[in-house]
Parts: sequence; C-alpha cells; structure tokens
Amino acid sequence: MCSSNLVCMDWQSSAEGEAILQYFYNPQTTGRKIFGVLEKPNVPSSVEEVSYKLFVAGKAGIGKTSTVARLAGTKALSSYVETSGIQKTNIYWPVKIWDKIILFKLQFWDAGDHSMKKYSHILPACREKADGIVFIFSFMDTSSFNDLPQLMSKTIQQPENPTSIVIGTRYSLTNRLEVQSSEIKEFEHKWRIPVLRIDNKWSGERSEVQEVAPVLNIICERLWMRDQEYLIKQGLVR
Amino acid sequence: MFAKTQEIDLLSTATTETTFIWKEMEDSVIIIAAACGVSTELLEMLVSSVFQAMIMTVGIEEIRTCRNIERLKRELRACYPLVDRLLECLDTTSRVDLLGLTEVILCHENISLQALLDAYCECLGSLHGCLVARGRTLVATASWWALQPSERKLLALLVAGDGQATARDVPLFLPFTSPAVPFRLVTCALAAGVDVCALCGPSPSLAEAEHTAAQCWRGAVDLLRAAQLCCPRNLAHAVQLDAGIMGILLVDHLNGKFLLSGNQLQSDSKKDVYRLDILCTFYYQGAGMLWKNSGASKAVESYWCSEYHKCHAMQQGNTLLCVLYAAAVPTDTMRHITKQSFKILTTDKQMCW
Repeated sequence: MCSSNLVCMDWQSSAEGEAILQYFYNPQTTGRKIFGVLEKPNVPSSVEEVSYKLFVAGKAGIGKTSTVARLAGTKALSSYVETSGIQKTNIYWPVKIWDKIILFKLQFWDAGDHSMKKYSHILPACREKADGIVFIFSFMDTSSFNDLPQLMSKTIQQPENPTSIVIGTRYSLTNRLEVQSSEIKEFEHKWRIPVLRIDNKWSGERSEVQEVAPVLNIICERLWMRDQEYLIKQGLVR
Repeated sequence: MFAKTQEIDLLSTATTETTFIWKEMEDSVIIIAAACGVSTELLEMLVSSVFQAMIMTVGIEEIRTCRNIERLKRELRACYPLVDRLLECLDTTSRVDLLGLTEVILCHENISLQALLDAYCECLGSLHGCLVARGRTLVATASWWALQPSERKLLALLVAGDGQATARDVPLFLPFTSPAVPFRLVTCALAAGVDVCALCGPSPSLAEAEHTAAQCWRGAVDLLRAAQLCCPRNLAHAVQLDAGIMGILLVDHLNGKFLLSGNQLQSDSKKDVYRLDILCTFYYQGAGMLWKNSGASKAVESYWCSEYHKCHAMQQGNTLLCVLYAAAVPTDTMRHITKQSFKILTTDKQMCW
C-alpha cells in the first residue's frame, strides 16, 4: 500500500487515517478546524509532533494566499486582494511514516509582494530559519512557470539549506492549461523536485481533505527526508 | 469641478432618492459617496473613514505629495477590502454595525482577560493591545482606548477581515496618532474565533510575538472559549434582562464604543438582524440626537411607538441605552425597565463596560 514512498500516501483514506482525521474537522461546520496558537488537534498523546517553517514564494497575484487557504481547508476570498504584510498559517497534518503516525505542524509564511518591497523586515522574517520553500506558479500563466528557475536559484541560497517544494495552482483536468505536462516533466527531471498540482477551488466538503492530502503528504515527506539527510551528515561528521 | 474654478466648495447634493457627498482631501484626492436613505452626516463620516483607511494603507505623505499616480493607485488597492467593510457598516441587511464606534462584548470573563492582555502587552513592549472575538472587542489596553474611535474601528475591521491566518504582521499607519510613521499590527489567533492584537514597533518579530502569546495565554483557553460563546448575543448569558426586551443598543459617546444585543439566548440571526436594524435606525434618526441638544432644557429620553414595536432611549452622562420592546409592553413601564437594564449593564465591574 505504501509502495516506494516514505510517507504512506493513501493512509488518510484508510480506517485508521479517517479515525485520526476526525480530530481535524469542525463538528459545527463540515470543514476543517482552525487551530489558534493555544490549540492543537486532540490526537492521542502518543502521537509525536514535529514543527516546520515554510516560506511561500512566487510572483504577485499568482495565488500564494489561496493555495495556503486551500491546504488549510479554509475558504479563500472570492476576489483577488493583495496580502498586506505577513500572513502566517499553521496547518496540522497527520502522516503515517513506516508504522508510526506523526503530527506535522506546517507553518506557512506568506507575504504580500508589495509590502515585501516597501518594508525591509518582512522578507528576512519569512526566510529566517525556514525548513522549506514552497514555490508557487500558475498552470494558466506560462511566465510564472518560466520564471521559476531564476526565483529558485535566488531564494534557495540560505545557510539552513531549506528543501524546495513546487506547487502549480489553477490545475484542471478539463481546461486547456498554458503550461504543458511535458515542460513539467522536464522541470521535475532537471531539478529533481516533484511538481505538485492543486486547483484552488474549494469544494467545501470533507472530500477537500482527500483532494489536498497528496500535496500535504509530499510536503511532509520532503521535510522529513531533509531531516534524515541532516542526521546522516551529522553522524558522518562525528 | 466647475464650482472649484469659481472658488466654491461643493459639499453635497441631493436628488429625490440619493444623496451625494463630495470632499477634497489634502488638495490631493476627491472622495465622492452616493447613498439612498442615509443622512448627509453619516455619509460625511463614511467619506472621512474611507480617507483614513487610505492613510492607514499608504501613509499621509504618499497622498499629500504623490509623485507617481499609477503607483499610488496600485498601492491603494490594498485598502479596498477595508473600504468594502466600511460600506457594509451602512448596509444593515446582513449585519448591523455602527460607523466610527467599536463594538464590544460584555461578559464576566472580561476582568480576568484584561489582566492577561495587560501582561501580554507588557511582554511585547507594546502599549496598544486589544482582544477580539469574532470582530468584537472583549477588552483593550488603556492606550488602545485612547486612540481615535475611527482608528480603532478601522483596526477592528482589519482584524476581523479574514479568519484563516494563525498570525499576521501588517505594517500600517494610524491616521491620527501616527500618519507618517508606520507601526506593525501584530495579530495572533489564540483559539478559534479569538484574536489578540498589538501595535508594535520594529520588535518583537512575528515569531517572537506568537511564542509570547502562546506563553502568556496558555492557561486561558477555557476563559477565551467561554467569552467567545457570548457571540452573537454579545452579552453574558447569565445577564437576565426583562423578557419584553427584544434588543438593546448601548453606546458610550465619549469612549466611542457600543454593545448591540438581540437579548436572545438562542439566536435566530435573520430576526435578530431585523430587530437590531430597527434599533440602529432609532439611534440614527431619534435617540442619537440626544447627544446634540444642549441648553437650559436638555432632553434625556426619547420614545418611538409603532404597531409592532416600541423603542425607548435613555441618556446618562456619556452613555445612551436604546431598547427595543415588544408592542405589548406598556409605554409607561418602558422607562422603568430601561433604567433597570442600564444599571445591570453598566455597573457590573466584571464585564468592564
């Protein structure tokens, strides 16, 4: 079932996964629960929690904020509004790695492009000690995809050696996409980074969790792998 | 424009249904507002609030000495959501709100929350802090209350804006207190629906503020949840008002705050909005006038009686209580009930009115 992946990719739809996911829903609405800084999902205390910081990068208006909203299971604004300042969203996500359930606390740091240029403290605050960088492009905007390599080489240079994650928004199976799948394949091969796909349309039902599960699982897996590599390196140094 | 060349100021104009307000700000921008069924005075307030929202977003200097108009226009786009929310304050069909005044919740947890908020702000090194549940203020620091009412209103609308973020760091200007030097509005969602916000300088960072929030409020989860449960009544469930009361609007003119409650334990939101809308109309068109008259014989009460409801307002000092009654309540007992309710609402120290 878990095949070659480190993270069990369809665990969330298994009976065990469904049972754990109950702690992530809001019983009053059908959607997911939002957790304040004083709260966390009520999972069994045996479940280990790990926390990561992710910086969301991508050009203005491409859908950074709505991608984070989609991953969090909340409804994004229907019309485009530029984010002012920093918007940080904590997303809790349970993952099964080998035979262990681990609770990931993913902290997404998203900032408005304009505020970033105007106020110098914003970009450093977002990048500081980031464990991963999420690059967002749109399947309906070729330039956003073509600009990725440049954006990536500019952003990745950081002492923490953050892992890179690429998400393409406005993905659709029915509409014609501006960015072709052959280009994606080439990119994935060259950079050795999987390109994740998301449509940003919020269904408002429980099925949304299953829709974003693959994306969250892969994000968690890459963060986990980065830690493992770090541990191995540390071991070698000693 | 024609009037301007003749050195005449055009203030307002009215057609049979619509009122237009026209105002030039800082010799730089002209704001025009049009509305039906809204008083000129309220529309003027809207226009100045919109201008303040603009200052909040880009700062006064940018508007006064605009070098690049296209850039300014682009920058001002960030204030559209705020302007939309200001416009919603005049549209009472979905939610009732008052322009320029801070909406508060009166609950018994407030006194404990006030102490926690003061401690949190001290840790952050901030004077201005506020605790908000679903867009309504639970408690705020003394300096927060010392801000201009319309500034506070804009900040409250900004915080209530979108509920998904766990923490935010929004650079902004304060239209009256600091129109040229930006502050950082640092907000943190403590529990679902409850946010704590503070105006900070360059430090602490957002990550530090979030960490501090988790530390300072750690023991307060139950308090916050209990306080949050007061919505949408906005009033502690333990507070019993007369059964004939269908809604109350309590306004503090000096401190710029108000409490709006449908007096229902189980809320039927549609009916509630309708009732609260009547109260607001009563406030705007009748009771609110009580502030204005002065002189030898000062009116302190106001009555409205219609087929289905009755309204009564009573003013004491800076505070005005408007009450919506069922039509069955005898007109002469309204006064007694209002007086009693006034006392219940304003003298309970735990609720911190």
